[in-house]
Amino acid sequence: MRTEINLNGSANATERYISWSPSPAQVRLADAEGATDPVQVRLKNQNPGQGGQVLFFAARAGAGQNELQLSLPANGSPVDFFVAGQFPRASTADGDASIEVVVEGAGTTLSVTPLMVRIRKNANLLTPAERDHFVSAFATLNDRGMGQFRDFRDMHRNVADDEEHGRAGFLPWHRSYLLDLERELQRIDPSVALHYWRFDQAAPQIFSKDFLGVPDTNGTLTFNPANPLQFWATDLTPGIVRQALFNTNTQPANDGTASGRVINEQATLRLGGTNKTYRLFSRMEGQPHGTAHVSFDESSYISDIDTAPKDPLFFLLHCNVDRLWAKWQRVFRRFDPTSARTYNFLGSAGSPGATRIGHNLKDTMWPWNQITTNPRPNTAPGGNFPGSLITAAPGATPAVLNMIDYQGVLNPSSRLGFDYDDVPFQF
Amino acid sequence: MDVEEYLKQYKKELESGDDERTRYREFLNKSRSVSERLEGLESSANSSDQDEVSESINIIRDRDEDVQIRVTAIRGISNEIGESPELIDLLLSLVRDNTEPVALREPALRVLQQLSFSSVVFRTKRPEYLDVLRSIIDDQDAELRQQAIGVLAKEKDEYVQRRLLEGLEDPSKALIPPEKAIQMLGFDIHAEHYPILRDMVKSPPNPAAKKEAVRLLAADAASKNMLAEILSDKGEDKEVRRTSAIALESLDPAEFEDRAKQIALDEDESDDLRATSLSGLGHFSSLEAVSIDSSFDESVAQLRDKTASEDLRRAAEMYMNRRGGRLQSTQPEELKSVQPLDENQMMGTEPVTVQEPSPNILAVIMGRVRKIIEAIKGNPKPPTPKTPAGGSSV
Repeated sequence: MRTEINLNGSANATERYISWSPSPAQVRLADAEGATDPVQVRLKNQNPGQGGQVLFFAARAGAGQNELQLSLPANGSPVDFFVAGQFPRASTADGDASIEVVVEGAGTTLSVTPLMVRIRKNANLLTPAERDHFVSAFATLNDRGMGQFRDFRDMHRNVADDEEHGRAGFLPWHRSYLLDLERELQRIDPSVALHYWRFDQAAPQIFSKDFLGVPDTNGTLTFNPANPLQFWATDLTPGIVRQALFNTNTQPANDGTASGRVINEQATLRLGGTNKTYRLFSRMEGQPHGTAHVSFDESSYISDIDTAPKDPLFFLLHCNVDRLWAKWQRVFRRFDPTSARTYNFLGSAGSPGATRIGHNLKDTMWPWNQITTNPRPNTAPGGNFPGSLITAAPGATPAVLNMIDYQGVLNPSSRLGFDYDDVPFQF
Repeated sequence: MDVEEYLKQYKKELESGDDERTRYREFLNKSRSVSERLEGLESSANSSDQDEVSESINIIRDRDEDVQIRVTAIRGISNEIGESPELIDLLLSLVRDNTEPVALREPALRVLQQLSFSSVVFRTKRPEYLDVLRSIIDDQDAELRQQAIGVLAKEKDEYVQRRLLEGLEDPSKALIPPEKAIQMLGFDIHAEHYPILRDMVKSPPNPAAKKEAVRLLAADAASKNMLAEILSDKGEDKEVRRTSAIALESLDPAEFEDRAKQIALDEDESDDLRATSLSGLGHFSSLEAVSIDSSFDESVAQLRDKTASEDLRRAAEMYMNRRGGRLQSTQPEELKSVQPLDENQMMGTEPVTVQEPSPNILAVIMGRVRKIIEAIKGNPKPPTPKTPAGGSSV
């Protein structure tokens, strides 16, 4: 007798990736061995002491459980349930979590399904293997300046500034941008998530030759000879220029002057004011986001909008920005897109009270909408938004709206398929 | 972990945390000493209170005020500055004014750079900003000069490019050190820069300048032989040789592959260069070219098992991983590949004991095959695997 588990709508191993947000699953008897009565089974973590851990839900509500009892029809009809990563027990390697199905009572194992609780983490705390997978995928995407990374470099130029900065859509646009990149990294290595640089803390592991490089005396990064990022190139030129103005081993990001440090996480989350509004919270675009960028000297790619994406650190910086937004949303429950406290421009461009196109809740976002007529930029690199094997969201032409309920708290079909190591899910 | 409890605790800490507003009000209190006013203000909170903003502006304008206090005031209202053309003008005038202390002008310039990331109003001031930068590229202060030149170089400012080239041709006219000048020309490398870069390689003013020039010659076809010679020269600085390897890989991957294979197996070569060569071969060579050279793969496998160099071992390991090889190493490894689960095991159709995480070799190889197919078809992105959901209004 054996069972089969589907995750995210498929029995394929390529879709066995979950986060803290509940993912749809099914279990069925694939071989009943002549049984005619329903079979009582128990789903559980095979190795509770190691690897990623899973919670089970009979229905998409309430608190998940470490185990779940189900009754499986003998005719092989599937039974629905949900699984989620058990916060904060993320995987550190692909397949290190396993769902074991056993016969209730007898304990006979009917199947073991490996999966991954794939989570965006503090990059300073990655295992060497996680770090190497991440670096390898990133270097492959760049492919010495000839890979698909060129699209990501071209999406973040001065010409697109109005689409991306200085207005309400700054956070949703960059959330979309990061997710696009992450999905492309996952096409190369599905075990990879886009990790973040926690810039309000010292991060010596990130600024190392094994990871994102150490500057030589001239500010050009050096890497260990085995690190494929040594071949990183953009705009036909190999190399990355980055010279921090702070001690990367011992200090958080700062520009070396009085009061030049990024504000910490708590101060950032308090930016929303007494009423915890998005309008006030989004001031974080200046401090800490802008401050983090200019904590590197004038020759550094990352200290200028047009050149910033030439440095892979840029994506980890923005991943932390996104994490701060995600945390603010979670702590103050800002997932309802109909509330002005969640997002302050609720209509679409041209409607009463609207702001510039691309920054209203119902506006689609460039470049994924492939619109190149004025006032949008006249090119749209990268094409439509890439799909995912684990969720249908946000679609090929996402709107700002599609970036709000990223965990699927209010609408399960909004789940974007990523989560942060310190931002849990809660109904 | 109880999520509810975690969030409750977090919220409690948030609410009882330091009150940035109170600290800023204390900062504005002139009856306190400078050190008292600055205490606890390593990072500035942003004030939007109109009285505080007005007071901060007065502080910024007050030449008799302590410089650090003035700097902190600038940071304390940076968001407000970003929303006001007049306040941006104030900062621009501070940066331009060489009678103001550099300790004020530099942070003011950094705040303007910060605003370039977040302020819509700043964009309307961009022409004036660039003018101010041009006005200070001859400033007495070297750091301020370099700051301005760096920003302008990234803007591909032709005037600055001319001045940088001038400084390389005639050191008496140099605004910044030659290695920095070369680096900044790299933000907008032109064919006309290549002759002087080649000169910098042949007669370098210093090693850093040579290394930087080698890096930037990666797109110059006429420099291919020079780069190959540097790579072959065992007497050359090893960092310069590594840089030339990377530049050659960019310029002529086939040439690089031939040389990299020789270097990787040459026991008289530096381990660093051997590891770099393997890293390049492993990650970026075409599958066909390397996959038919099984004797090279065998040699790399032996190298991996015998070398005492950790970097070389890791590079060999990664090479074998990328080639889909099975590792038989006796040492604990970071990217260990094991016998993958067979299809039945992966499908969960029979009980198994999973001992180690399954590798992603298949995914890696499929990804590369997909890339090759895309390159043939000229398609930048593969079709989306799921049907898009959701509509759009604009």
